[in-house]
Amino acid sequence: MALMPKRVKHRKSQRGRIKGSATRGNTVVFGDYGIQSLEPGWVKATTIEAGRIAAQQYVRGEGKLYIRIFPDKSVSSTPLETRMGKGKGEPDFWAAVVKPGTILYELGGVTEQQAKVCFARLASKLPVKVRFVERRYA
Amino acid sequence: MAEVLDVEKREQMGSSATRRLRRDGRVPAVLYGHGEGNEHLSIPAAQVKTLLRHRSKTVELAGAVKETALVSIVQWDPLGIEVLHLDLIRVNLKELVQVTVAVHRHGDAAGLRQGGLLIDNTHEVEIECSAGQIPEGLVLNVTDLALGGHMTAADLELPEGVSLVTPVDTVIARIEQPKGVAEEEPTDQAGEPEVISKGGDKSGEEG
Repeated sequence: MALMPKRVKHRKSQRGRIKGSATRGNTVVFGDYGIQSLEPGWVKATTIEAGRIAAQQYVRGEGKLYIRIFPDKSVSSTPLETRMGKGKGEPDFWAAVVKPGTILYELGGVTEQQAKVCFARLASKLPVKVRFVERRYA
Repeated sequence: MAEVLDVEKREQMGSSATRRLRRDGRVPAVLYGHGEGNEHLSIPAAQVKTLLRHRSKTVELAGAVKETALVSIVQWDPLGIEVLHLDLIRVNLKELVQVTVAVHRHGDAAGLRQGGLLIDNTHEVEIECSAGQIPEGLVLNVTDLALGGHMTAADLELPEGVSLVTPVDTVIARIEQPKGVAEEEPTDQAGEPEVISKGGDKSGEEG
């Protein structure tokens, strides 16, 4: 089941703009390796789930996968062949707003080589350019 | 052995001058502490990279300023590629300092052979020691860690003269039973989250 909020204040949200780079959530915190976005964009809840399945099928219980983004933005759409007007469309899907620098997924308990292969599979599902990052120690 | 950094004094401050400095392959830094005035410095970027690769904490400043300093804060760009700025604190190699060091796992945990998954809860701990004897990291021997077990900060091997500041009951690593791949949470096929209304607890319609 794709991720989505349990409770929301408003069903529909405005589109918004993605300005600047991520100043939070831009370091590997839980695992040893991570995958970092290099572009701004929306990542759909279904895409996050597809990435999770792709990664977990590869690690097969050997490592622990952490999802660092959550789809809390509802995106509405108007059905096809509908006349203009009649208000804003109904919510279509949920998306996570991603800024450059955001860590999308993390992996722990695997070797660097395994993490690289796993994230390469996962990256092919994502709508943004990403790069492989390691934990930065103090 | 402390790293030696060739520092130069910065005459011009401000974002434009700092940007020019970075373009010329130098990293801006500031030196303070011990009740003396601040010194605005710049360090070659290559030396900063070496410093970070070696995970050195104390540095020997040479050039415009001759001091011993502790690397306190490292500022990175949002993508974590370039170092933007360093904070250096004047330090005497014999004085006690509190620093954060990495935890390195050692050995193969017994729980891994039982099909468990080794999870690191804490990757870094805070210690107190003399500035001249800061270890690169602390070792945690996980050989005896069985399935379902955990190790705390008390199990860390501390070198002589090093004391732990992090609470000793902090869990550092644990072995847990891996969850099945096909584990699915109960699905709520309604596909609509609950809307928080202004007046009551909940409502199906937006206010």
